[in-house]
Amino acid sequence: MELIIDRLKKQYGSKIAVDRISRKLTPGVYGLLGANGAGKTTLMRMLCGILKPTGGSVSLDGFDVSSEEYRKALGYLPQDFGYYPNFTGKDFLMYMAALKGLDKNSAKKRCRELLNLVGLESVAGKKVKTYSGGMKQRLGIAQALLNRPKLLILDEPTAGLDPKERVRFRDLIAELGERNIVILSTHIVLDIEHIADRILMMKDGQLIFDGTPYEVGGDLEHFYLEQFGEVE
Amino acid sequence: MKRRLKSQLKSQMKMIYEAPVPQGKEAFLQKIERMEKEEWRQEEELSCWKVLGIQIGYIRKWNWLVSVLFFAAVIVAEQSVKGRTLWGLSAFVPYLALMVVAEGLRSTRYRMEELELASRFSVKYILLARLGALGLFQLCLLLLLMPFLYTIRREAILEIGIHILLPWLSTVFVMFLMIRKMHGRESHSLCVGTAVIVSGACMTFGIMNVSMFDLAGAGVWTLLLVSGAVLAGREVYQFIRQSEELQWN
Amino acid sequence: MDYNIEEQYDKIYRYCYMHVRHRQTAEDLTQEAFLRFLENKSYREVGKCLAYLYTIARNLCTDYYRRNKEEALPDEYERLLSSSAEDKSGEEYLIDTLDLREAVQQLEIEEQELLVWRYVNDVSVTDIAKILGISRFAVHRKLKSVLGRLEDIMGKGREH
Repeated sequence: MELIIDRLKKQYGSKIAVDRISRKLTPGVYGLLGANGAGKTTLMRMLCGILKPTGGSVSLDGFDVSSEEYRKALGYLPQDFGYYPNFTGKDFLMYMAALKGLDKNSAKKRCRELLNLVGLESVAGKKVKTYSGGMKQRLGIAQALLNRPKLLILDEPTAGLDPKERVRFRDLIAELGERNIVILSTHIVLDIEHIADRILMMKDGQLIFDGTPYEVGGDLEHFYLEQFGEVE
Repeated sequence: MKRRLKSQLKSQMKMIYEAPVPQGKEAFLQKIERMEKEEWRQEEELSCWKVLGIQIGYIRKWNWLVSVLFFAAVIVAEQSVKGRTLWGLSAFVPYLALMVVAEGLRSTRYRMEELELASRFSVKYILLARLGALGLFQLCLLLLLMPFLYTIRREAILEIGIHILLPWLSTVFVMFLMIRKMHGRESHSLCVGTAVIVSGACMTFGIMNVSMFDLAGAGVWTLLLVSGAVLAGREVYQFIRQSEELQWN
Repeated sequence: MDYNIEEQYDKIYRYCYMHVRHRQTAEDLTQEAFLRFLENKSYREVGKCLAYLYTIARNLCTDYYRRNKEEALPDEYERLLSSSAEDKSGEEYLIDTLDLREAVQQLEIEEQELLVWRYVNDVSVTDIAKILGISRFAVHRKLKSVLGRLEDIMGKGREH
């Protein structure tokens, strides 16, 4: 399984948000690091087919990002998402399940499975507006997994999670990364250090580093700060 | 002789290439069986028509209700209070159109767009379901009103048609035009504003007891009606087409 | 569980074992081969897409070789050599198993592969042809030549 990113570019007027990035990704966990405004979210949106690139292409096993086959294999957690008012946790998941093409019975089973997996089974019947930030985030992770995606793209997935939830999340991602491509972006270096098989660093729309955590030479945080010259 | 040789060869080869007993076999085979069962379940999927249907199911129920109530109210009003000008009717119609647009804009309003855009089915279908279903429903009701009113009132069918359809079409047209030109939250309030303005205009004409034909000839009105239909249709089409991509950053 | 799959698991496992001579590795490779197979095909199709499954296994074994060129052959090899004495049952063999075992070890890996496919795992000539990308006729010829080589080796052996 291969995700081929070919000279992907996004330009807004004179500003280049993503500058001709090319990569071939195989199953594993990829940590996308970068400051805010580095182009991470723009890149991820293009990988999800939400944003049309100004140039270049993206394909998974030969299927272009605009095709239904690609979308079938995709799971996405945006940085910020809302919910229709009065939706309970379960309603939300069922709605997303319908969008992903699951029939009612499979959807019910799958929703139950996932609510258990992310530890929300006890509050599934409560309205999403009553959820804490961490709970909402976990709900978001659950919806990304509904269709057993082969390509999982998570934008700042650990924001709002408490340490225990973070550990649980890490284990889940590690397991998923064994057979699928998981790309997660964050500006929290610690999260990436433990989970990622490979680290991709972005700055001003370009990939300035692509290697394993070991290649960084020990202290990822130090390396990161060096690259960006800023304090976390 | 040769056959015996061959079968001996086989049994001896089997001995030579014997391997120590595998240990993970059971667990692995069970895992595969489970995987296959899950894959199979995913095959029972939804056709896009079903998805449309499900989306229509998510349209808030009171949208349908209000449309129907409007229809009923007009019928009742006309039967009980005769002589009212059609402008009163026209004044209500923009709010119906507003309801359709509001339904279509829910994704933006509640920030569900990103999730919806990344889902399997093209967002076009979702919007088509919401706008199309509700819009068509209202259009049908309005069209049904026309013959009904015609039989009760003195006015020509053209006059009735213009009074009912033009405010609806022009509101739809202006609202979608604004949404397309100005993305973002302001468009919501602007849509409400449009409805208010069109409605207000109709009410004003009604209060002033102005006849439609005082303002312009039948020909002009007909032209306006047709262009209204075309423009509104075009704007809605553009809106749906543009929905494939995140419009703002 | 499907009878077919379990049997095939054993066969693929035996085939991988022939290559790597290490139980755990052979099992890992077998399982990996199945998983990759299932990415593109249903488990019902194992029977009719056997060549595909073997090709995957074969590639995995080749990759393994490439990664582990330096490693000495594990001691199971020794075990096999020594255990040959216990194999001898009361039956009379036209070909001495000990001779055969030693002779077989002198063959190239590609030649041993053929033997395992044809005589141990009962893979059809058609499937072997698919795996190797040659004609059925070519497969028959190769098998014949391998058997011939074996005879030569054993013949020479007996001379000593």
